Amino acid sequence: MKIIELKNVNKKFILHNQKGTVLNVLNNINLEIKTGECIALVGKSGIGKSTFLKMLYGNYLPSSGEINIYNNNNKINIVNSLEHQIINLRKYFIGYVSQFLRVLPRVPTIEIVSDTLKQQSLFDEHSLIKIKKLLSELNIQESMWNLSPLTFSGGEQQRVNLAKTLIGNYSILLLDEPTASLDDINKSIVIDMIKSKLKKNVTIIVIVHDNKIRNEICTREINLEKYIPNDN
Amino acid sequence: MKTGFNFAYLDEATKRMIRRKILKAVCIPGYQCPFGGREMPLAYGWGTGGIQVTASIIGKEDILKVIDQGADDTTNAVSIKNFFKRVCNIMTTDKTAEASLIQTRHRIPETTLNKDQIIVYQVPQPEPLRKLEPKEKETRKLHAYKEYALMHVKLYEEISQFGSVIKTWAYPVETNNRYITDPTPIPKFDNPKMNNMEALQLFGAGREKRIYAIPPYTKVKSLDFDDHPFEIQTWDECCSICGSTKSYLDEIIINNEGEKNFICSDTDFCNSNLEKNK
Amino acid sequence: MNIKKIMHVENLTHFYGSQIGCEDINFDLYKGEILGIVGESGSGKSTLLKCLSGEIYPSSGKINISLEQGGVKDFLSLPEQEKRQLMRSMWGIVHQNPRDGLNLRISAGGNIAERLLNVSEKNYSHLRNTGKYWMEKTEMDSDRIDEFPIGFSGGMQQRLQISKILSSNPQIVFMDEPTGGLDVSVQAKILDTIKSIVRDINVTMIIVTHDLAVVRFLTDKLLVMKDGIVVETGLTDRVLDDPQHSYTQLLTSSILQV
Ligand SMILES: Nc1ncnc2c1ncn2[C@@H]1O[C@H](COP(=O)(O)OP(=O)(O)O)[C@@H](O)[C@H]1O
Ligand SMILES: [Mg+2]
Ligand SMILES: [Zn+2]
Repeated sequence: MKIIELKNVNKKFILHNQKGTVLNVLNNINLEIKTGECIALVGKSGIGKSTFLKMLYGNYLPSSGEINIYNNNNKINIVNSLEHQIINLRKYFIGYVSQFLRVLPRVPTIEIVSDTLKQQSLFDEHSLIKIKKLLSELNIQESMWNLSPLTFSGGEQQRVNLAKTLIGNYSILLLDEPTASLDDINKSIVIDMIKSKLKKNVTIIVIVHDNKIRNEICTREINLEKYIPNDN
Repeated sequence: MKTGFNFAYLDEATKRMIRRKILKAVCIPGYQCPFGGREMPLAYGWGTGGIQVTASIIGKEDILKVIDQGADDTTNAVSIKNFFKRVCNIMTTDKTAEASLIQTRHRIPETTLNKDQIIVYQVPQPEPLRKLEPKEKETRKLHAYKEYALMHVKLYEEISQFGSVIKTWAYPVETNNRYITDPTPIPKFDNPKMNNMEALQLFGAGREKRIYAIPPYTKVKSLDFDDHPFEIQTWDECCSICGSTKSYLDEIIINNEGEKNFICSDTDFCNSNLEKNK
Repeated sequence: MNIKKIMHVENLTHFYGSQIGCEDINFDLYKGEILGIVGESGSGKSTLLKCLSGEIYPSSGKINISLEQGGVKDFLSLPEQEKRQLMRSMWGIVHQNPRDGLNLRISAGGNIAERLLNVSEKNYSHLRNTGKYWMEKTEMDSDRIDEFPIGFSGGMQQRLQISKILSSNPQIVFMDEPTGGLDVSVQAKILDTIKSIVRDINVTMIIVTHDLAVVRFLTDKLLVMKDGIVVETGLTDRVLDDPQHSYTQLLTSSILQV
């Protein structure tokens, strides 16, 4: 069953304040992704992998085309849907782990992770145990749980970022280099977690440079080279 | 008439104008009607508003009683009574039950008023919201839109600071489920008498040039909270003259040692009570 | 999922004489949304907010509102009494200067009570408990309930103003630069408080600010204003991360500090 569909999607950036420079990034994307697939986005740096994920999350606006998300029998084109519909989709349906952690200042780690469950109305008396277990598995020490992650190291922030999204019950996960700043031990822990999500039939689109990891978890690759505009 | 004045001092046109305002006031219980007040031969603060109302409605057959703080024999009460005797040539009385028209400052008689009587209150400040909202334009809106939250906030503040509402006189009431009304500086002891009173109640404010009214048998509710209900004053003592335990008592110091005594504020009630108990 | 639209604004325009205040504004506000209006000073933000909250009557345009009880009403043609009633309970404005929203001659608790009394709450202990509850919610010391706000710091006064407005469980809250007049350290704390409250209760809010950090922190969607018109609108993170209009790009780059 298809869960994501891109139709004639183009993305260019017009830099009005830099003499109207046009960055033509991605062109004429037509593709479908099925429920339960694990897609690796590949292509050289700067090609538009993050841009692709951000468009799926509604964070970047395609210059033209449609991005349809199928939720049971509902189709939502996030290019032209209302803000609250996208917010709702992000709450319950699509999780996104950005390349860099972006959270509100002064909010403790444990609350950041709890918040995902609260937003999904899944927070109950067992939740804290679950959250603590997840943080421990990701090797975030207990002494850090009540601190804001904004002062943590790159790898720690990355793992908090993952915990924040992996705790939730999403049907689609968008992961932008989730293992980039992790050591081998943490890498394999995260890979196991991604695998267990796949077992639950979650659809995953991931940017990952490591061939070995790609082969281990991904069912298909999408190479963005073929969407490079000719005029570039 | 030998005085050279028109009956009841005011000219007939003025009386008609004031009567029209009174009629309007009766139609809208508790609503303050502005009126074109006339200069009276005494200073504001001496009951000029009440006198104009009385002068406009008094007839040759009326028997007038005037009280000041419950007493018939104070300077103010006596001079108002004398004024009407001179300009109307009517009868006056000290007996509440005998009077057809009662002008009062700061009390309602203890004797229950009946449907053939009219009571006229002298009003120093007709606007109950004035201290809370200084702008007249805004108070009019507050009345018009029935926005009376501030009034209750005042009571809230007293309870939170003193444990109970300490306002003991000029305690605000709601008339006919609509307008918040200033009952004039009567003790809150008198407030329940206003509720469903058989007599017509008229209020005249001379300086502010306002008339308002509470028609007979009108609901008058003292403002309160569900869990802090309105209560009237009570005394452990009784009247040291007539022994009454159910009238409003004034406290008087009787000697240099500061010893206190309590007597009825309503002199007519006290006298007749004493009579009765003899 | 069907979220209720509670405000629909169409071609809203206001002129001050021949001077444009705001022009041709269109948007919808849904229940639970937090809408930010950003722009430099003079761009028409406050004019728009005043039109929406009934403080000024716009030159032209339409504002439809849906009532809690159901049904849609033309806000601009409501009689003054109904508008005032709305502002006193169902809606609420948090002013930039807390003194504009508080009665300084009344205690902190009395200020909150006044709002509740507008919705006809005549129970003293309930007023008291609700007052304390909201003071705590806004991270004030509820033991100060009987103190007068004149003695409070600016930040405390702002917290009290927010408590007062939220205590009546309003359908829409309007905030005009709610942290504008405060020290930077106090600003951050108050924003934290507002954020934690909006996470907690499903409040709908329109917030005017020139501060993009505030907008990023608090809002779901944005109207970007310049010279009285809306140049860009959309999901907050979309507008800030992938701005389309040249002015928004200027605003979000560090070139233009508003
Ligand atoms: N918000 C933005 N505004 C302007 N240009 C952008 C923006 N985000 C990305 N780009 C440009 O789009 C291109 C693709 O970037 P990106 O998606 O980050 O590539 P990748 O993730 O594949 O390394 C780059 O040229 C980048 O500079
Ligand atoms: Mg990237
Ligand atoms: Zn006595």
